[in-house]
Amino acid sequence: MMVRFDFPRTLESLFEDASMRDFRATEKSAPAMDITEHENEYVVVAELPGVNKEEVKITFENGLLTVQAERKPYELPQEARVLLNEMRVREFTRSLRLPVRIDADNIAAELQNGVLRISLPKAQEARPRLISVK
Amino acid sequence: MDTNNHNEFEGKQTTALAKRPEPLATLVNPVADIYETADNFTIKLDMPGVTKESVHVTAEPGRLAAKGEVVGRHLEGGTLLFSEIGRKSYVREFHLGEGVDHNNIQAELEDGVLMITVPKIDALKPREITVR
Repeated sequence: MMVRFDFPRTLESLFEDASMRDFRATEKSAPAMDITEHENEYVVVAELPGVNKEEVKITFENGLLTVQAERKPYELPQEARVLLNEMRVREFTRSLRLPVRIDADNIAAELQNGVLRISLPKAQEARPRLISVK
Repeated sequence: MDTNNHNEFEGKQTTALAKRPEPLATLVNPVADIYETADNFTIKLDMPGVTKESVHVTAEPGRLAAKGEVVGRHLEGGTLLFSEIGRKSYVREFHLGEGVDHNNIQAELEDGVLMITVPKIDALKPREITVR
């Protein structure tokens, strides 16, 4: 059985654990992704837990897709005492280059249950076509 | 959960031309935040991809468990080129002390974050003592 911890801790962050001072600290991370290829599109799925739609920025330029997102800290009640703080990532950034030409005008994205799904339609010339034999 | 103990290499001949195997469900311990107020303990767990239907919170005296499944619907009908998510089972358990009311635990899911509120019993709540 495989056990995976989503965000491997550095030695440094373990030391930081000793004090809870950095509860609001910023830590950057690349979101986990899955990429699937379909006949007419690529689908990129990225994990962005705790991120609102308004805090996601997706850009596509010269074949480079970039996802940036900010995770706003949640409201901590005034008198609350923090017992455990493992949610450290506040900024997600990741870029990837798509292997074929993309129809950039029709890229679509949706965010649901903390998962971003980006659909990247292949440009007409990159789609499979049937060549008839004369 | 059924594929968790399956060993993909056991008793199988693999060749370079073999189809990429179905990704196995990975067991993940979700990261958590816990804080305490006068009335409650609050536990937050990152479980991106789970839905209200695929998440289960169970509480019994002394023990709280949160489980969730990511079925990987996005994997259907395409060729997987790169995978860090796939299918997952989230599991995390917590020890509950004597002072909590395990019958009134509440849970909600928002943006892939599960929030569990564990109320304290009255004996554990701070009280103001009137000075006579």
